[in-house]
Amino acid sequence: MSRSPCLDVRSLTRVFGGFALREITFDVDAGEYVAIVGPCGAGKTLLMETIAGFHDHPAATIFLQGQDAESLPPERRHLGYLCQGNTLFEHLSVRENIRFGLRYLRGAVRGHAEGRIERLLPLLGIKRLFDRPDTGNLSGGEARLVALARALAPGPRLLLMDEPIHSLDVAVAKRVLRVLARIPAETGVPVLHITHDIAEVERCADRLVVLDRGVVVQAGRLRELRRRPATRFAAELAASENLFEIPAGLRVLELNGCRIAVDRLPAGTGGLLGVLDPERLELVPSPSPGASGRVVGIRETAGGAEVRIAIDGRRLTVHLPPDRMLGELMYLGAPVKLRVPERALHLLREEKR
Amino acid sequence: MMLALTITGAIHLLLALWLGPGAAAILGVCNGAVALLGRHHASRCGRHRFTLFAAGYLFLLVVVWWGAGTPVMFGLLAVVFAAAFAIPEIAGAILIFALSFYILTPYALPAFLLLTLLWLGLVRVTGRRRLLGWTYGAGFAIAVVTLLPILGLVFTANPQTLLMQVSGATFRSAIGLSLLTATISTAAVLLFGVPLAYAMVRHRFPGKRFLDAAIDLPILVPQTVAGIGLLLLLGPKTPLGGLLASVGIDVAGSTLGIVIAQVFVSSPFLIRSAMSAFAAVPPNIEMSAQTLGASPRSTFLRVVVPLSAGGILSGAVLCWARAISEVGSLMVLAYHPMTAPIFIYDIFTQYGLTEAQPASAILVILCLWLFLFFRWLRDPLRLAHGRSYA
Repeated sequence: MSRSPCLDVRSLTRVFGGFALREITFDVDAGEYVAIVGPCGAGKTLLMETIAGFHDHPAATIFLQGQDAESLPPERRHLGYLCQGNTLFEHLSVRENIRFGLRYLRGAVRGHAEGRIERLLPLLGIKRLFDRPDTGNLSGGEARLVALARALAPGPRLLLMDEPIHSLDVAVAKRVLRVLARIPAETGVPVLHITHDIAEVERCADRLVVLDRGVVVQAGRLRELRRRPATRFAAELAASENLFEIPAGLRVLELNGCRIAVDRLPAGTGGLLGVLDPERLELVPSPSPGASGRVVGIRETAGGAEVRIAIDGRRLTVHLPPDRMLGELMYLGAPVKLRVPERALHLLREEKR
Repeated sequence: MMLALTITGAIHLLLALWLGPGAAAILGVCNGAVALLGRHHASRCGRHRFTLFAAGYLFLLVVVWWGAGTPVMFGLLAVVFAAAFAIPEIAGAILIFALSFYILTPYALPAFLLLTLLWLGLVRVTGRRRLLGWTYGAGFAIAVVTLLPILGLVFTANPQTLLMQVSGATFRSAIGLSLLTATISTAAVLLFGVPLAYAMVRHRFPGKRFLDAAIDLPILVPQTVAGIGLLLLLGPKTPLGGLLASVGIDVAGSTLGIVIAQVFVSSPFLIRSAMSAFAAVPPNIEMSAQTLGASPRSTFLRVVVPLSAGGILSGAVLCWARAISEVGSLMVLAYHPMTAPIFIYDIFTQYGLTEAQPASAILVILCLWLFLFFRWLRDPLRLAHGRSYA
């Protein structure tokens, strides 16, 4: 028996005046941290508001724990929603803000919520703010965390966050992000986080949904997005490395002594984009066969080293695991050969804009 | 400071024996102003310089005013003298003093106080920024135009006639009726206008633009026209008025009529104020409340209204003030029972200006006091106006 996901969006189409969300499909499982990434005007906030129930939508497009949410008003969806900006109720104290949702709970559920607040305060690091008589002099980060506690206090099925670190100082934003990353594990509430900046969710998100102009372009793990982007937009957003254009009609790409077949995709109009997976590229000492180039940069990373090489005016990045460091051969300016296994190349057709 | 004041006061009292109380009081005001301004100036420019100025001023006072008996000459020389010492505050104050006592004689005291304040502000401000000086001067000129008649009315009223007026039974009942009807009207607008304001801000519906214009209509329509319109609709000889009269409800010439007329003219003030207060509450805040489980009604009562209470309350104060000051439409629709402004108009047409003044002064004092009281009330309730939600 398969458990239904916490949030299941199935080919949701909704027109808002001149803008439309089209065929949106994705889900969020229990305990997951999912991020929706897209530029301004991609429809992220509209999608979030539709999920929260502020815009009507066709039946059988949004399911919350298997239940069709079509007829549920926002107050009965049991979702935590952290809106953009400071949304604290300024006429209430911090305590009253956090306990706002408890009034609408009954009996035992309310008792659980009281206990939940006790656990949330230390988790979010706002225990000392709890007794503040007003919210006026909270800093931006503190206000965001109090709003987060308020959203989590009633025990929502899912936490929706719209640009939660928008307009916070860099240091504060980092701290808030660290707290956010712990939410699914510590509270059991899955998270749907929307942002325009993929770097923000790089560490915390289990999965990403790339949204562009009202359409889901791609969904998956960041690594997958980066290595095998579905579109140029996804590649640029995920900062794919080794992205290059292939002119229309070209069947074999010459790379300074290395021939790469690029005719794998079915024929179509327009050019292609190629992405070379930096983890699948191989570097070998100079006399071996392969595309010859020079090392122009070496950076040690947690999982080995990132080597930048120049071939034929192109710059490519190769990730090397620690055991394949090639020792003394790897220095700036060293001549190297690059081998491109077939599975290192990901091809996609350039979308028409 | 106290000693100096006592000595100066004593000197002017002695002078009163010699010059008569009126001239001594005028001289006292002038010298008091010079002394106060001089004290401030001395702390800025040095005690010696000011002592020299004070000695010269006294010399002019004794020789030119008393010796030669030409107060006008004294005024002019004092202005030139203060200007020579580069004390613009005092030069201006003396000039204003002379002008207000010779030209604006009945309003001399309030005019002198207001204009001197204006002058001091102007000197202070223009010292730094020119534009600021202009804007301040222009703004204060408006304030003088509005405040001068009101202050003059209060300052020149005789306390004895005021007391006599207050004890009059007709006047007291008129004041009572005014306070009562204005309060009922404000409550009615609160009850019906505030929900309308929320609908105007948050909902889209057909005819919204039309309604938006209609809200302001009572400000545009002359009050007498409003009265005629209401009378045509609700008067005793009209279908609707006749229907109401048949069930015992009289609109024309009744307290109900007064309330209806006041609601008509005062509603825009509260509705507009509430609309801008609601518009200042970001929709995000309402969304947050709703996702926390609050129904739209609960969100409105527990979040939106408290957050916009400052704006609603200032609107209610304005609305109340507008209601209590209404005359035009009441003259047509409900002259009797008389509200205080109608009563004053009635006295003015029957007995003239001097008889109407004390009642006017009392009404102004009462309304001003209540107005300031309500405004003060707004702050301790933590309902400060114009919060930012950035």
